[in-house]
Amino acid sequence: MGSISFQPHTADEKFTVQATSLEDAFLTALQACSYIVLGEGDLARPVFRKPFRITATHLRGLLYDFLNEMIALLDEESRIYSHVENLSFSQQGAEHVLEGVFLGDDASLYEFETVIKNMTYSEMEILQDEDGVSLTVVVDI
Amino acid sequence: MNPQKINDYSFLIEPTGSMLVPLKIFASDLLLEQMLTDKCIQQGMNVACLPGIQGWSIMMPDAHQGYGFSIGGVAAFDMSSGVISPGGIGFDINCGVRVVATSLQKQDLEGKMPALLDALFQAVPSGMGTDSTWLLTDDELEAILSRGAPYLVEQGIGSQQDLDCCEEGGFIEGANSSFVPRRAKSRGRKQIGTLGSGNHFLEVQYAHEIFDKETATRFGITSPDQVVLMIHCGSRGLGHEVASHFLRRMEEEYPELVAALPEKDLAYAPLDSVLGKEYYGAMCAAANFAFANRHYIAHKAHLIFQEFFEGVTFHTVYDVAHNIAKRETHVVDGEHKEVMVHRKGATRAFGPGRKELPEVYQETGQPVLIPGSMGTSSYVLVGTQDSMEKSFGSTAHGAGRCMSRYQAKQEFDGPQLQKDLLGQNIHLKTGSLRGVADEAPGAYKDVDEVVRVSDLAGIGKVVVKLKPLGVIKG
Repeated sequence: MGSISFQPHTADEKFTVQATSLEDAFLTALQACSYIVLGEGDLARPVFRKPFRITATHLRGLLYDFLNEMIALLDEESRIYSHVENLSFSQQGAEHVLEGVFLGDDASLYEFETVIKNMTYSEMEILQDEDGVSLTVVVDI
Repeated sequence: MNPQKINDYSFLIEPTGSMLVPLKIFASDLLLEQMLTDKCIQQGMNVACLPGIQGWSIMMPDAHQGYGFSIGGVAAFDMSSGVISPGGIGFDINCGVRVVATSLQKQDLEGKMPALLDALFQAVPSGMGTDSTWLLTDDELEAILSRGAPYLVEQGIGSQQDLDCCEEGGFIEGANSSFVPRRAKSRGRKQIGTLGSGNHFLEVQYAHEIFDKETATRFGITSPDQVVLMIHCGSRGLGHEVASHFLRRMEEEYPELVAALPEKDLAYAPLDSVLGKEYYGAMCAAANFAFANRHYIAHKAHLIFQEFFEGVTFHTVYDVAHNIAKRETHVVDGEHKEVMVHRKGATRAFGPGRKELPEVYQETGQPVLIPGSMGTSSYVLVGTQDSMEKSFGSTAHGAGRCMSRYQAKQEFDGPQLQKDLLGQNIHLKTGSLRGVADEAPGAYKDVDEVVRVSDLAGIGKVVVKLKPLGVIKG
């Protein structure tokens, strides 16, 4: 798993992830979102499973939709997902595809510090080089 | 970036680079200094580059960094050459405020606040993991999206007076629920009558100081110490999903346009495009959901108050949207012109005589509701003719943050904050004391200064100062 660094942002929550691979970076970004809502260091237990498949024409869209999926499922199913198994990236024509299985728990069993309203593109960066992957994300609170 | 000081309440940045119009900033020296600590002024300049923008890009006294547009940003666009942008409205479509004047005085609540707050907290779900007790059927959800708060009044919830004193009568024409994505409906189905989280709240307040007695009386606030209720929330997950869905669609449909933008959250569609029209229809539907949400919360609060105070009456002062885009007619270059006014973290502040206002406010101008931060003052202002000329009929929407949530969590402690508030006779009820630290008053600008600048600029004149007695936070 990668490392998470929370950054100052006037209105919302901003964090940067450093990881060795794109898969690790996305998984760590999901954990960062869990820390924002549950408190730093807190994750949901992996009780329930939810398969997902996300497509986008670019990686930034994929990251946006991936984290937004977690946010939407909180409203739709009242479940908080902090983990993913079998995460895989692939390419179909011009589209990036992200597949995996969310693992999480009943949200009513946790004390929430806040709720993320939505993902944003604000200041989003996905940088890849020989040292690994760096992601920057701002979520709307 | 070098804002030129025009007077004690405004600054201007003349067009440079791709800017099509100047950026006008309503601020004192102190507020401008705070704005310069983040990227909001650059965001205001970015907005000035968007196609079809009219007059100025404008920033309100409470402006701070947002995504795409700054929070506290206003821009009007030509209906044929202009654009509509989800980032110019906000993810929480029709986030807004309702203020209700009660027949109670502050002293009537003595000794009852803890129990009253407990009951309100039970009746009005807030935070995460607490759904509405009303799970909407498909038909009910469609009716709310299409007809907003009036649908609830048809069902016996609330009164015609509530609708009369509600921006747009509690629903915006042009809503088209068929453009609201399925997932948005799924997210909103169990959220009617819920506060949400973040800076949203329900406060029991009292009139602390009345500056303009005649106008205050017309608004239904007739004496100092009168108890009022302030509700601040929006369209919940439904609105967030609408915004997100269309932001992504605009990005996919106009990749060249978006690639040229300094921030992807500025993504837009031409107003006369199919996608632009679909977004407008969906946005209006989400706005109607938000009007209904605040209406239902006020109704449930009234029922609770009636359990505690026999015969207590509620009179809606007003209900305003501060994250919205609307078709309005304004004077541009000396001519009346229909434009699409985006207000993101800004409140409509129409002066006397506008046809959009209810009869009761035709002579005064509309009430403008400015919530403070937790534990500080809130205000009722009145819209002015000046605001029509200077800011497309707009003013501030709140205190505006000046400290990051991360820093606030390091500096403030939830339980201590609750004790401090109690020391000021302000009761706080929340689902998570850990979670209120980042909403501490010290994380916000001084709302008194924001309101002073609005008043000085003439874009919203102060009428009543309100102080909290009890706060419910999500």
